[in-house]
Amino acid sequence: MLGFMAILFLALSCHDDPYRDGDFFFLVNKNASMPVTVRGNKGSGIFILFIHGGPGGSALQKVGLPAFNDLEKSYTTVFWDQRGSGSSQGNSSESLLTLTQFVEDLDKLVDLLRSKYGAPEIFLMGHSWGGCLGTAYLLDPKHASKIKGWIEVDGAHNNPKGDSLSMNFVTSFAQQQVSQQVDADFWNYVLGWYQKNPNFTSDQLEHYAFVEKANGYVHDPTVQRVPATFPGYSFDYVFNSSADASMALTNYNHVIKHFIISDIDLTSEMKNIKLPALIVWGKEDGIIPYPMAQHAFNALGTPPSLKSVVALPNSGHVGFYEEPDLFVNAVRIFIEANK
Amino acid sequence: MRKYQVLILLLIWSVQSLAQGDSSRTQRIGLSYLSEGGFYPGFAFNYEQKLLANQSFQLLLAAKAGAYFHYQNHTGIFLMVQSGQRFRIHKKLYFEHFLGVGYLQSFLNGGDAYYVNAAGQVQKTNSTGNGHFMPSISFGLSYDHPKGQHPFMVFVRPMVFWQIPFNEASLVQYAFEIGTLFKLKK
Repeated sequence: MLGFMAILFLALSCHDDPYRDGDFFFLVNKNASMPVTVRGNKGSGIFILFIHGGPGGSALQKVGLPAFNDLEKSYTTVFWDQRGSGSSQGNSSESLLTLTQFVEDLDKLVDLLRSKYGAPEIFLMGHSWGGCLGTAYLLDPKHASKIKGWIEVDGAHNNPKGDSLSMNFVTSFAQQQVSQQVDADFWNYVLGWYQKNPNFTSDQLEHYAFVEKANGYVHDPTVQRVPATFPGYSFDYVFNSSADASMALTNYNHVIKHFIISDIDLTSEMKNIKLPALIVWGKEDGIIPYPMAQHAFNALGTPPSLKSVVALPNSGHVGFYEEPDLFVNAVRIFIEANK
Repeated sequence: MRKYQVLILLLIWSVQSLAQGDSSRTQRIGLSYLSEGGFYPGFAFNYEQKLLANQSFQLLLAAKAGAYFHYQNHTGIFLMVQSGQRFRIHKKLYFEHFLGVGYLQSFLNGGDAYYVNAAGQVQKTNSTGNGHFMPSISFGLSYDHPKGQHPFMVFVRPMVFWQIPFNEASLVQYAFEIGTLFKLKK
C-alpha cells in the first residue's frame, strides 16, 4: 500500500512544465493577489505587457499560444491576471471592480516591472476589454510616459458603439440563416431576443453565445478546440499550467455579473494619447466588429505616421489564435520601428 | 516539490507505527495522500470514530487535518470535521460518504509577492494568507482488512470542497484522496 502510494505520489508530482517557463510572482494590491508570469527573451529589454479581455478573463490562459511563443524568441512577454480574474486570489471587493481600480493595478504592475527588470521598454498590448483598460491607462500622461507603444487588439475603447455593431453582426447573420432555412427556429429566437434586448449589457452572456454561434468570436470554427492552436483545450494545459480552470471560471462568472462595462466610451479622450500605436483587428470580428479599428485609428491623437491599422482577413475576435503568423509579423514590425 | 514528497512519505510511515490492530476498538487514525485539483500533492491526517455500527452499516464521526501545495497558485492548510456513513457492499468492501465543515487558510505559492506603494516604490510583502470556510462532500470506497497483526483499512475518496469567500464569491475545488486507516491501540 505504501509503495503504491509512493509511486502514485511521484508519478503525479513529476511532470514537465511547458507552461511554467520564466519568472512567476504576484502583485498584491487592495485585497487582490494577482499572478504575473514573465517569459521570453529578457535580454532584449523589450517587454510586451498583455492585458487580457473580459472583464474577468485570463492572461495566464494565453501562455503557450504559438503567437506568443514566437514573439518570445525576440521579446519578453508579460501575462497578468487582473483583479478578481483568471487565477487571481484574495478577497477583492465588488466595490473595487471599477475602471479606475484596474488602471491603478496596471500602473503598479508597470512600476513593478520597471523596478524588477531595470526599466525595460514596455509595449502595452490590450485585447478586447484589455483594449479599454489599456486606453484608459494611457489617458494619463504620467502613465503614458512609462510606455513605449500601444497595441490595441480588437479592443473595447467604445462599448456602446461596439455593442451596437456587434448586434448588427449577429442579426445580419441570423437573417441570412433564416432566409436560407438553416437552423431557422434558433435564429428566429435570436432575432426575437435582440428585439427584446436592444440595449443589452455586458453581463447578458446570451449575446456572446450568439456571436460565437455566428462565428464572430472564432471566424473559422474548425480551428477551435485544437490543442496545438488553443492550448487551453489540452489535458496538460488544464492540469499543469499556472492557470487554474476552476478559479478562472468562478472569477469570470463573478466579475462579468458585477462589473458592467457597456457604458464606457473613451473616444473623446483618446486624442490625448500620442504614443505610437498599432491597431490589429480581425476582419470578421463579431464581438467588436472591424469598423471599430478605424474608429480607434481616428480617435487616437498619435500622428498618422506613427499609427496604423492591420486587418487579419480570416480572423474573428482572437486573431492571435487564428492567424498567428500575420499577427506576429504586424507586432514585430511595429516594435522594431518604435523601440 | 521533492521535499514535500519526502515529508509526506515519512508521515505515512510514522502514522503506521503509531497504530496497531485491535478489533475491539472503534477509533481509527491514518494518513492519506490528498491531491488537489488533479495533480497537486498534499496529505491529510485522518481520525474517525464509529458512533453506530452493525454488520452492514457504520455511522462515523471523523476529523481531518492536512495541507496541499498547488504550485504557482496557493498552499492550503485545513482542518475539518466530518460526519459519514459506511455501507458494506461486498464482504470487506464498503461504500462511504462524508459531509464536512472546516477552516482553510490559503497562502500564495510559487513566487514572491510584491506590493507597490503610492510613490511607486516596490517592496516584497509577506502575506498571512486568506481564511476560508471550507464545507466539503466526499464519497468513495474502502476496503477493511480487520485480521492479522496490523489490521487496516484503505480508502479512495474523491472530494469536492469550497473556499468561501474567494473574491467575494464561492470557489469550488476538487481533490482526490487515497489513504490508510489503522485501529488505535487499546
